[in-house]
Amino acid sequence: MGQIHTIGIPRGLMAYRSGVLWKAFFEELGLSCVISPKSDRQILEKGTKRAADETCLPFKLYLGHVESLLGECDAIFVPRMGGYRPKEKMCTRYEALPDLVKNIFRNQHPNILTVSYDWYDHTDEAKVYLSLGAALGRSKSESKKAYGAARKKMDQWMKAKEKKQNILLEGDGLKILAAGHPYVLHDPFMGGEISRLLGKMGATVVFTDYVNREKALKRSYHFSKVMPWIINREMTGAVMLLRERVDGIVLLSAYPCGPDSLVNDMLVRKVKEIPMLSLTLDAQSGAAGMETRVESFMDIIRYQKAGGYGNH
Amino acid sequence: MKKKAYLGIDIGSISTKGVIIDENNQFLAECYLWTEGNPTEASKKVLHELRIQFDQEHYQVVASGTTGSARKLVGAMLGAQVVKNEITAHAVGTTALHPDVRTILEIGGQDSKIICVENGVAVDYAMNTLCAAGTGAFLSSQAHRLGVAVEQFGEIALSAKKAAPVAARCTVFAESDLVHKLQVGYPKEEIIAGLCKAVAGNYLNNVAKGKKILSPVVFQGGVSKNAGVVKMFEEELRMPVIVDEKGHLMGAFGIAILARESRQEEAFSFDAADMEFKTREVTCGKCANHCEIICVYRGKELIDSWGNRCDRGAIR
Repeated sequence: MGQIHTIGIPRGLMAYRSGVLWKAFFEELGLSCVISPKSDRQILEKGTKRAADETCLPFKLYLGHVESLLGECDAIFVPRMGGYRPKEKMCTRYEALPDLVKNIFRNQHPNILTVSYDWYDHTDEAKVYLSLGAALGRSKSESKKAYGAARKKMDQWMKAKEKKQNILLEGDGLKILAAGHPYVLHDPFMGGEISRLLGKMGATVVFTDYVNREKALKRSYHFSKVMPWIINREMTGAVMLLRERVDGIVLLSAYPCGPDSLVNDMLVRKVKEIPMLSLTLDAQSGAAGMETRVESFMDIIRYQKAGGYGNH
Repeated sequence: MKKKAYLGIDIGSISTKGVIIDENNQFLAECYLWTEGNPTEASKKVLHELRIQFDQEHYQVVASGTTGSARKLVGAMLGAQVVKNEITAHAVGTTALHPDVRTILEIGGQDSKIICVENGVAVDYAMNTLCAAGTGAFLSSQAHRLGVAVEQFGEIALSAKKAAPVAARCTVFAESDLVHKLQVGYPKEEIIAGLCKAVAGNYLNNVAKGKKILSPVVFQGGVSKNAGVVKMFEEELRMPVIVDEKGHLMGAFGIAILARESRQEEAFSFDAADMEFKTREVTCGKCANHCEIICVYRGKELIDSWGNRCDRGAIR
């Protein structure tokens, strides 16, 4: 790999969960980062052109983000993530991510910086960042120091989000928990649009990924002992932890998502005591056409609280 | 002094419904006609019809509401006090007539939904996603293929000794399965009964999946006028299914009630029925999202616009 000064980070998929850690790590090593802009229609169109028809909406968006970084940096960071434990794995999309990106952009020859980890390697996060540092030609001690500082930044960021969300949860007003993969919840073209609609209708929106990850992960084992995906674990654990503190839950999934199709159906059947709406966003329309569904759901909660329609 | 009345219009993809009610939920006028792809014209026709039926000497419409897929557009036209989704409108209308209802089944022209009710308030709902198999549009196209008026479907289905098995999960498969069944010699009435059964089965397996269907059950929407489908629902659910004579008007009725409850009153004029309304689509170029903004004009005057995701696209 040639001299790398700037690293491009596509604003999609796990960047919404670990982006702060990635960016801080690279910057601690003296590199600068370029993050692709927030998702918009153009990025989706670019990504859709690149992607096979049947892949999921977030992956299509991700490809659009990769494309927007071409020529903007010396290398694009595309990690291969398998998860650290057998019951806390990632979806196969992440296990194939660098290969998919390399292949799809083979005519543009982007420089792809990657790192790989998988539960059967018996590795941990610190070791993974050592090897990422090595790929950038840095010494063990440099990488170790950078990882330590980056981890601290990440933890602080996470704590700040938790704290802010706790204040919202203590506040008055109608609170809706948006549950889903972080990159669905916060992407402006997916969950962002739903949050905007909910906000416009007067709800305070809180998120499953702004809950302490360790606590949520632990709690998820009460929901399922065998579920193999870490993101769905953090999501279901957070639902279990917050369900009594909110007025309704909106399950957000991007079509087609294998893990979500199983887990969200299970959630709808298991969590009965609170109004729950399951929304699936697709590549044709994204969040468009969701207004009727969101409005109906808000009405259900409001009229229930009011004790009826008063129509007779 | 004139008594107060309330107007509700439900503009669906296939049909447009309108009602005027009084303070006590009594119907003063009602109208049901095809939307024919033109919600503006259909609503104007509904207003014309309602005006004819309506006793303007003794009543004055003081609030109006719109629901259904074109609710925003027609709401802007009428200056409606309430513009609300069809789930809430149907739940409000139905619980007013059937206070003890627990489940509302609704199959319309292009969509279908289920609303679960507890103590007179909706607690859960589901709508069909992606595909219109098993809705009114599907039945109409199959009726056309069989050379039978869709209005006769129910009667013919009831005359069948048994229902032919028809694969109705998907409209495309249903078509080819239908041809096949005809060619191997199934009588027409059994095929029609089979289609009705498939519509009920499809609904219960898709839209109503995972929902607890409790009695009393009220069945609404255009397809509820089909006695064959009603019978198949009763057989599948093993409970009576209530079809209200006014079931097709429940959305309009509900939104009229909500207009009354809004307590916002303003003398309503039927003049909108004679005005020229136009819509124009503008693509906002202020960022890469290119939002499609719908602008509604009365004559040359812009009366409303929507579709922008942010304030940069605000037109008024």
